[in-house]
Amino acid sequence: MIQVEEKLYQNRYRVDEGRPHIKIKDREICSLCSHKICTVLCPAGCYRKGTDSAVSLITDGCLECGTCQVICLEHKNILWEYPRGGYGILYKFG
Amino acid sequence: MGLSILFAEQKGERFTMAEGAEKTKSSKRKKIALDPKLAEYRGIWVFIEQEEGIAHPVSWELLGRARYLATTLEVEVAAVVFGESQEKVEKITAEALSYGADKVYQVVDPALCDYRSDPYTDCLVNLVRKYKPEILLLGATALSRDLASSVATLLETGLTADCTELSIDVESRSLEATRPTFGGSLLCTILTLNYRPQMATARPGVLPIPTAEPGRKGIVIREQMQIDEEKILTKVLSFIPEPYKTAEKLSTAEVVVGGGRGLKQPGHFALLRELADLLGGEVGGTRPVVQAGWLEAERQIGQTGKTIRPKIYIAVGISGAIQHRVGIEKAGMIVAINSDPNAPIFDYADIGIVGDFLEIIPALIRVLKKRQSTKTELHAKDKPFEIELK
Repeated sequence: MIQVEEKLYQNRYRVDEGRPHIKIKDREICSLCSHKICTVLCPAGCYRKGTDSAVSLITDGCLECGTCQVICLEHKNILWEYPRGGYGILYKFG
Repeated sequence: MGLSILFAEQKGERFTMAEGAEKTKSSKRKKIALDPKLAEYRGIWVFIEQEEGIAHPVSWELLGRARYLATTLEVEVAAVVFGESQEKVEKITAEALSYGADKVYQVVDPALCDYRSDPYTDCLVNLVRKYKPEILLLGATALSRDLASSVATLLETGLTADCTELSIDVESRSLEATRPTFGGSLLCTILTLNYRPQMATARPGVLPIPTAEPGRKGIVIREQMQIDEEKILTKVLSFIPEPYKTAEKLSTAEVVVGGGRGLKQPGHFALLRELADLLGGEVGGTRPVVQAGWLEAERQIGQTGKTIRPKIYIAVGISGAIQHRVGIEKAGMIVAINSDPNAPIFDYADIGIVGDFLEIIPALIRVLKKRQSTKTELHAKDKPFEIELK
């Protein structure tokens, strides 16, 4: 099976090192969240279920679709911004 | 100037010389007759890089290669040694002769003490103009890359930087300098057809160091240069040694132990550190572990981190996503330790171990320590590498 990373590798990014544009407000809330829908719906697989019921977020592959912010209805636990100008996903022939 | 890109192929699909390459060459190569006044250029020169009387090993690697190229061209190999005192230069000259130089050109002047672009460039350009070598090779180090570019510009000839392979096209007597480009995704072979000398810098560590023959004799030519210290704009005020920062050694380490999310806890990096220390290597990691704060950002390996080319890369608990793969695929050997047999890293690892790193790494450490303590010369072929698991 093709991993999502393989497909993301086809994209062009300019990663803003050390300045993730999406943050989880309170990690405790994620541990309590039962469905962790962000880990299922993120098209770039930015959200991963950790071993200890935590959620890890790595924004490097983010496609800036905004799904995660919208679906975290119950807890509103995501602080979502676009990356700075010139950073993030740079769609070529998008 | 004077360059023609001969053929560039996808890495891994390079033609063998016997088959495809011949066809590609004859169909694509332009026939250029060398300017008659350049035809008298003969011989292969290697610039011996030295700092404080110690030569950089890449110089010996180049001498070995030059020896081989010289056999094809039926010419002599000469070394060029600069230095501030006769004593230091003599020591390096003797070494250069032992590594295969037939001739050594020496320039001794107090102004050549520390490396500076101006005097080094002038001396080398003057030597080349006087003795007319066919090929001039330098190491692709910070020092020599600086020197090579200014020399090539003054001589108005072609220079191929950071080559990984040097050979001779017998038909046209030209140097085929092959170098990776576009971050290593292409290999291109570049020829300097109508300018002399043909210049190339070679990446340190890709060519083998020849066996030295101590006491080998050769011709030594001492050149006196008029260097006017007043006219040199660069002055060396002091030399500040690089602060000891091991993370920076990651790109040049011969052994790298990399850890990924599979380590589960930041504390487990201590195990990798121990293994790396035993092997004289460095520790690196993937994006997720750096992001999680388990490892400093300078130790990140991969697309947005460092690209490394160690002799051995040991990937522990790394799934091997392509973003990591691009940073390690130039390693000589990749050893993967992962509990998931379906991890993509096993698709490109040379040695794959499916298992728990918490058993395997300590076992490896035990074996290595045992070897060090017994201090017996054990080679892989004499005794198999035995690992006892708990």
